[in-house]
Amino acid sequence: MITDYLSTVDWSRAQFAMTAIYHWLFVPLTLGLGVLVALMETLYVRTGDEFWRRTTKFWMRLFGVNFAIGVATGLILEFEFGTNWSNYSHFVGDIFGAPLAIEGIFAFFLEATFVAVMFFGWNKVSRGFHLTATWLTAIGANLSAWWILVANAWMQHPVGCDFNLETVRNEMTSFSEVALSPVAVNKFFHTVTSSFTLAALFVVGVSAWYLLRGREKRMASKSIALASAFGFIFALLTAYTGDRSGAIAAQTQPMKLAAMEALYDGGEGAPLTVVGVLRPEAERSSNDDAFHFKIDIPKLLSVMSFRDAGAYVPGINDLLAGNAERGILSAEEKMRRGRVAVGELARYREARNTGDTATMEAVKRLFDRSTPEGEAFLRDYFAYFGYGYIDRPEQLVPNVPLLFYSFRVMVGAGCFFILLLAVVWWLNRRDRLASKRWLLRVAVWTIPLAYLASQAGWAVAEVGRQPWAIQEMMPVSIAASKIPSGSVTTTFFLFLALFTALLIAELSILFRQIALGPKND
Amino acid sequence: MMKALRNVFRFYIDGFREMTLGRTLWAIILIKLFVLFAILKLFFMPDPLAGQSSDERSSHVLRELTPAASAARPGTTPETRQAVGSEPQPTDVRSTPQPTGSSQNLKH
Repeated sequence: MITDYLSTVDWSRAQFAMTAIYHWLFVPLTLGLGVLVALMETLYVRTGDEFWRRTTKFWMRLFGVNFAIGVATGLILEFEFGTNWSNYSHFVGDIFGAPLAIEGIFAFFLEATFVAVMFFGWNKVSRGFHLTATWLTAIGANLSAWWILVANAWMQHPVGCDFNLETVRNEMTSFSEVALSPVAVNKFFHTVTSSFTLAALFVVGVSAWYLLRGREKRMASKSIALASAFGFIFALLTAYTGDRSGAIAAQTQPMKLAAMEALYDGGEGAPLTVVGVLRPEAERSSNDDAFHFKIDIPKLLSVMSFRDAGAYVPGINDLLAGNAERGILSAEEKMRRGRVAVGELARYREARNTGDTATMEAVKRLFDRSTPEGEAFLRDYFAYFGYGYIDRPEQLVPNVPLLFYSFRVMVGAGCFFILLLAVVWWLNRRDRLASKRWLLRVAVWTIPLAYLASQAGWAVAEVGRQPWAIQEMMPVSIAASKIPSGSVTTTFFLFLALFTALLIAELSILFRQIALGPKND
Repeated sequence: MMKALRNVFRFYIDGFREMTLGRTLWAIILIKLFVLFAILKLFFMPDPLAGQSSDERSSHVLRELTPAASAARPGTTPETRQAVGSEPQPTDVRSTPQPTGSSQNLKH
């Protein structure tokens, strides 16, 4: 039975990861291409040049294909919350529900309303109104993303809430703390800027394909001029927000940062590993035996984490064994405190079952922040609630190789995008890009690389959070529903088939539309 | 008012009528929504807590959160902790200032 349940948790995780990966194939292009299309239409409205109208309509058509195929794929994630993660859904419902409800409203009223004007409104509404609809569609998509990312950020760093013992739910105490937490704000800007970069690389890549075939040269050149400048700016902003993500992780998720760097032993002036090859798990126990080889930049991890070259950055071993000198509790101590909190919850349950009102009131006082005993209990014990379900400290370490390599794929690709977009912009400006056929080929093949980097970023964010569904509050093993693994396995393959069919449909329609090229009115 | 509504209705009808690529995309959207709601949600993705009252839901989740193994284990309540003198000290990296600038990093 336990084996079956563990298998259920693994399958539920795999299913959610697969669904999120597929969903994220569609979302970033929608976020970024919407804005690029709006910029192109702005040029049309300002100049009155029919060339920009034709160009706008072409890219809008590709936006429409991606939008249509991707729309509602996120609903499956919500189905999975209810079916596979019912404990989690109940536990966080009030906090998770509010951002998702707002997201639904924005998605419906802004995107669904104005996307119709965007596609049906040419020649039927004024230029200004059509442009407004295009901008509102792009803004609506990005505002929808904000609320989804607020919900995700809360899982990474739960703030602005209190646990209600009677309803067994976390309840929002401060909407602004949840919606404007530094984790949420930075996550939104990092996600959106990286999506804008991906969309810019898509436009540059498709335009490069036209130049390689000697077709639509003016449209390709003008699109590259706009998208490369746009992408370069947002790739730099992605690097900036990514740097802030690292600094925030150092504060809120030190284990994630240590695993990303495969840093086993913490220290002052910690180096950043640029590249390296990890040894197998069984051979890794300290900084000395973690790598076959690596290239470090001295002190950079300390600078990136705490803006101080001499700052102390804890390693995996410090976070597990504890470090009294640095004020780091051991995992064992956190687990002990977590078990006390779980024990109190169990005591409440027993009292509720037997009608022991005196014990119920006593436990309620512990969960009441307004009483001194409650404040102490919540700070010293309930803050470690999730650790009460951890059996061994090693379970607190996420998958180090996956994080280490995913992080380097993301950062390496991001640096390459900045360079590529700058070079493409400069050569295009000098009218020398069309002759650099090797560079045009690189631009075309950078499109899948942009998707890979985007997915790698999410792998870092989500795998790095393990074993937590909600950071330090609820591990995935408790968050998952206790349902037969067979049913999760079945839906896993159903979703795999559905998403693969959608992806094939998108790619085939997209390739066909690109091959057809822009149409004349 | 009625004229405005008629215009909006006409706008959508004409838009759908003049679609070319859009027809394929709408077909995909409708098939997808059918598969999602009429097949997957209905037959494969039931909510285990659906149909329960809020009290039943909270009782169910409370049971899930307090497995028998950890339920009322001895020595875990504050009273027994004090009795064995093992009250922990609230020291943690989160409550300990980092060398410089670390707390400011979280502020925009």
